[in-house]
Amino acid sequence: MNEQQEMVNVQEKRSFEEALERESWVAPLVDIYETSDEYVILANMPGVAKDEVKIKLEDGNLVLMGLINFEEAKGRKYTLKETETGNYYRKFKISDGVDESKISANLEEGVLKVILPKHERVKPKTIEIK
Amino acid sequence: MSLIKWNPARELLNVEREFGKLFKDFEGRFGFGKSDVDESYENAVWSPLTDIHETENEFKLQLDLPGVKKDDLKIAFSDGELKISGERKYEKEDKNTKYHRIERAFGKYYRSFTLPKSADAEKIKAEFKDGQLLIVIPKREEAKPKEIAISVN
Repeated sequence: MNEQQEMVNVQEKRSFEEALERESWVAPLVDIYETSDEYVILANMPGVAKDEVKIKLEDGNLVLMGLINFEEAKGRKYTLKETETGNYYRKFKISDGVDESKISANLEEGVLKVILPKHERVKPKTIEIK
Repeated sequence: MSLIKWNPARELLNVEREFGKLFKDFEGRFGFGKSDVDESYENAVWSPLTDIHETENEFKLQLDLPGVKKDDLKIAFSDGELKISGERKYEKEDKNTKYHRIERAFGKYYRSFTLPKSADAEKIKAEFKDGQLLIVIPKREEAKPKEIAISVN
């Protein structure tokens, strides 16, 4: 058995909590629309990789967070800077009509899409008259 | 509802574009010359936000284009001008869709940059990752900062 162990240089990626304290945050632009079955939130998060996104649900609040390469962005010499450098954070109040257990999300090309399905009871129904 | 930071640059770009269109229109009708109209510029609805920074060896441009597919992105370079254009299409809507809030821009976009002489346009490299377009343009050898050694006798 080869017991050789390599010294691996492990660089600790900063956690969301550390980033919350030390770095600046901006709100991502969002589109919100509703279909008869669900609510959909689309948030622009360019530059964020899949493992750097966190979605939390607490007390009826939906929190979207995304980390960017903050340290690198801060140290540059800018000729033109139009964007705001910051990690992404936005909080939304979710209505009771949303079925919290079925919320899903995906991140594609810098756009975070969160799908919030409605409970059966709030979906529009037509009632037939016999 | 949570607050979003107001980014004046974003709104000003749109205002600038509208004024540009207005004047170009006016010139076209009453002016004398043939306006050198760039079709993409005319039809564009929004401009992506851009950051440009330089290192010792190259210029780096970063354009925020989330939600744009690679096929909808065109980068062209001619006469010292780098042009980025394309279209961001909207999600399909069916009749039951109700929009509550639209903040993200969609439609045709256009942005152009005149590169300085120190940029070596032959070696432009572009990469599109996570909704950000990263363009790297190396500087010409002569343009790089060089240290000149002083010999003391």
